[in-house]
Amino acid sequence: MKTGLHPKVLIVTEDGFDPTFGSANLVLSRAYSDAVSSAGGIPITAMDIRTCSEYLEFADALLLTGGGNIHPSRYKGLVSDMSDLQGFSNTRDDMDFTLADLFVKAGKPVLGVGRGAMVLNALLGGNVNKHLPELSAHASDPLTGGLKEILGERVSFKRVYGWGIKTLAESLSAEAVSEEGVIDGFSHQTLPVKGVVWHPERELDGNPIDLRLYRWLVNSVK
Amino acid sequence: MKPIIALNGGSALDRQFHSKATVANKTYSAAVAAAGGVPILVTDPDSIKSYAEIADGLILTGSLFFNPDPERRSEVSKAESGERPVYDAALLDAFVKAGKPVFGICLGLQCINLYFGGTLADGFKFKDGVEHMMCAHNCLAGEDSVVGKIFGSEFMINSRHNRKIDTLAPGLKAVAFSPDGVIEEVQHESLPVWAVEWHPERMRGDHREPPEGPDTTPLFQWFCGVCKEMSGKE
Repeated sequence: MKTGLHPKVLIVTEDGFDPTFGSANLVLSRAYSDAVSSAGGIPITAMDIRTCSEYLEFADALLLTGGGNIHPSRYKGLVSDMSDLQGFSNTRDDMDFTLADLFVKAGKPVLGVGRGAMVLNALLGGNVNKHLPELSAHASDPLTGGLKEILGERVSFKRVYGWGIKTLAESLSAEAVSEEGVIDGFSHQTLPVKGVVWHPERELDGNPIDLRLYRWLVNSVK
Repeated sequence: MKPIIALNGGSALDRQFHSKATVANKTYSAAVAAAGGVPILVTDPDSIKSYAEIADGLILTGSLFFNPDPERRSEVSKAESGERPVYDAALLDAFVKAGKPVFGICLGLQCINLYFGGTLADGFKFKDGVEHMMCAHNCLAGEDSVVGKIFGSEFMINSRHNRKIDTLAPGLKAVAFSPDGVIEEVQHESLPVWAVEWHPERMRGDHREPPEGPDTTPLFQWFCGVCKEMSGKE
């Protein structure tokens, strides 16, 4: 059992609507809080946009989780057809981008997985490819840099997105690149910020849960 | 620094992977944030003791399921009736032992009554012939009632429950009632524990259920104020 002295990891999660009671709601997949907890952190989930500066003060690290599409305006794009907005939520975008910006600027550790990696890249000036080429559903990328230090030579994962990184933000280094040339993972060049398009907290397609990136997040807390 | 208010959630499957999840209506967190608190959703059984250390108060929320995958309905209802009561009781126990303020809403009130040794009446409507699910009625608040001090001795509230307190737990006082005798508010005689059977988080601003009820933001301001005062935060 942990104590209150362990690093507090703030999780930003999907939002939506509860049709039974007619209210906006938040849904946190337990895979995220379980992974944070197993990695030695105390998982807490952000709930309201008005208290973001208090979340920054209170929490030690940030986890940006998976979810639906990001609004194209976040990466200087335009809504070309309504499928761009599949799973889109304005309030989710606001929460993700506000908290990511605050934690990155404060130099606190940030990990983005799935959509979370897209959020970090878009926040820092990168671009999203909404129509990836035909890719193998089972990726096996060679790794470099910080991701290689944490995960070794290569990472295998199931690709769950039809969209990906088009151009990487200048402050980020591509460290997992598929054989088709798609950027699947990156580290910030100077800050404790990493993003991967896969979901290491989840057992998908025979790839076991891999807590190493979550341990990196927790252990990067000063 | 504003007080940190921990909130628990209901059993769910998430939208992206349809896997085990926790759901919370934003009505609760919006009420806390509007009242000067910082709402955090707490979901990890292994961090319960940590939550009671790092948060300044606890709101035990009502029941809510969420399931985008109808074929796995039984999984969600099993978690809600099995794991959730265990988690909620452990969370309540940790905050009570830490001496931190707790406010229970609906299922939260029922959890508090069970924790201190009371009992619940399930399906009481069939015996009593009264409906308390998704309707509205008056709240009759006694002298010691917290809600009575804020909203007066008689005001409209919503009703969204199938269970009620049967035997009140030792140490708890019933301080507000429905016209047909349901206990609508309890408070502990010596601990900072309060609870209501109705849903004040659904009676704020322009979205009041029922519309003739008061805006309940001051109730959440009162609770956040208690949490802040007891935390000793500036």
